[in-house]
Amino acid sequence: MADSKPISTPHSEKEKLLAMIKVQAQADQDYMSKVPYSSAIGSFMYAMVCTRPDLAYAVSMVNRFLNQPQKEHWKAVKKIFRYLKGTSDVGLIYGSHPDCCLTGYSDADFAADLVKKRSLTGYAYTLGGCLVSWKATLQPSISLSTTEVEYMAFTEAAKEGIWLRGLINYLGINQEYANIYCDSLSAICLAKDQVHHDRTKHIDVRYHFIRSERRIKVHKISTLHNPADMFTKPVPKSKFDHCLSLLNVDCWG
Amino acid sequence: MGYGDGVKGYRIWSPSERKVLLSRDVIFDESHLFHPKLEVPIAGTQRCHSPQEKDVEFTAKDSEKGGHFETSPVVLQEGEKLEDFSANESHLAAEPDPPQLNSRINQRPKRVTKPLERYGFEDMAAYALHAAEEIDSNEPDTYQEDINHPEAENWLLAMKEEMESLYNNQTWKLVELPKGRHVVGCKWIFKRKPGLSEKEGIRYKARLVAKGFSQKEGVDFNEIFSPVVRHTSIRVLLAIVANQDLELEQLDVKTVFLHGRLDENILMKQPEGFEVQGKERYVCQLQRSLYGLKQSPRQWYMRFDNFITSQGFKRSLYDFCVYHNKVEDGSMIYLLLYVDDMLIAAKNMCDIQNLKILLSGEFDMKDLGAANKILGMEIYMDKTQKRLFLSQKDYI
Repeated sequence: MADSKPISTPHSEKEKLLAMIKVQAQADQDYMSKVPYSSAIGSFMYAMVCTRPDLAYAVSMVNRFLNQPQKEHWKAVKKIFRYLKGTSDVGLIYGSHPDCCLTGYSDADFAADLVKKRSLTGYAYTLGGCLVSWKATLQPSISLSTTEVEYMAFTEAAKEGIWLRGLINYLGINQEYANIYCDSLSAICLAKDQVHHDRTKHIDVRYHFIRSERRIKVHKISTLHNPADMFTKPVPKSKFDHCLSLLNVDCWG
Repeated sequence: MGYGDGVKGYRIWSPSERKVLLSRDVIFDESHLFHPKLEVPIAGTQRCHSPQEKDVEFTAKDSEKGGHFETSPVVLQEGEKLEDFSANESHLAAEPDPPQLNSRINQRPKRVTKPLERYGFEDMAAYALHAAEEIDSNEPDTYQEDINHPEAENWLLAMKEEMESLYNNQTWKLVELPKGRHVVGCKWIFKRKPGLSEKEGIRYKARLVAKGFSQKEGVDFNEIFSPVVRHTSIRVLLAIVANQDLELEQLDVKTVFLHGRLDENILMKQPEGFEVQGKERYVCQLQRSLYGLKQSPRQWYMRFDNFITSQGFKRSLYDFCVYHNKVEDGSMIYLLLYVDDMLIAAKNMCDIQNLKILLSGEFDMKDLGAANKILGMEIYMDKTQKRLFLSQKDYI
């Protein structure tokens, strides 16, 4: 691994990983039993939680298969190692900004998990241009539509936003509300207005609490400029770099 | 005969009463060896011999083909044999001594242990992860190992140092063991650390820890939750530092858990190798929390929280490890606590200095100067461009 070639993104753009149902060949099973899969993921997690939001999607992808990893998954892990090799000096850059305001971005991927059909939530928060909080995680329940998925991701982001707003208000920076950008117009409508539609009947209390929430404000953002996109999809290199530059994740100097 | 299913205690065959009992109050008699001659097969697997009033030996043995099982001879001595041992809980004696293998059991063929065949070193990644675990070996694991270790002198010196600091802190006082009280064990941990400066050489550290796992809930501990700061809070603070161009300093508390005071009355065995002459049977009644106790982090946090709030700091409702205070000129001073690490941020350096003096008056502090590493995140500051950079270069 030490003399491997670095790559530009931690994930493969074309394929999504699958927890394979077919039985593994004996040779593959032997191979996987000798591989430190979970400890490799543990190490990624630590980096991801501290300073590496760029790993979030790739790590959330491989850690779904912890209980029975297969050769394909180990290949994906090795890809992350190769990516890290080329980007070991990447980190978060914090600078000063004229207005120190809290901004969030949310995004979702419908039925991202190919086997269980669960969807993915992704969000990121910046405070005066400094990235402070991010997440890429599977949603707990299965959704019926993209609108619903975006709406749920939005709710998750709003919860984090309310907490962050409380914390920074306490620290002496007054923020009346947190701005959250979402790229799904239908989810925004659902959050702002009491739109009722046959297909949104089942969305209940847990996700409707943001309707009456005054501590956040919703805005529309184009998918092209939504940095949370990289937490939910295997985006190509150009988009990946664009997202990272929006969040001020880069090398020092 | 072994351990009871689902309950704490030994299963014991009592030939005098001719039944199987459950008891935690067992004393193993290691001086008696059982006589193979006297063994007579009885239905099942138990056999016994020479039942003497309350002093009974027994053993269990598998039938001839199977080889011997795990038992060693056991003598019950005036212990309460209760089927319902929970009623007996209030007057438990000290823990039973670990059963030592007698000579007969030593004769049985030992199981050959095979090295694990994981980590086939398929590639460098696997190797690197494995190697990282191996690096800090060659440190003694136990006291027994230590006194036979080639560097025993250095380790002994380190242990003496630790004992001295424990005495100076009045960590415990020796008391006679009250009857029926539970005693927590303790252990020495040895660690080799690189010296702070070139000429100092390797430092040998020994630390006495309590065996927290042998504590009993409700007796030895009640509440053990202790908050730690969220990574997000750290980044929020750093973002504010970058935005408002604040000074950022880091402090470290030495022997952090020894600052905590205990609410519970905990008894601990005397540390190995440092038993007080003539008082070998005494136990240590802990006054301060010790490393390894379950409530240590909590007691430390409570102590710190009490102190800092008494100094006018306010605790955040959103993260219990974030404190702030207003200084005279109206600017804010922030304090962030992660167990023994602290980050302090303020506009003026003199405010930070004042706080440092305040803290070192109360706790044993180490000043680390400008913050450069917290929780594995490296912090680089660029004052001229008012920028701050967070990364994990060393970790990756």
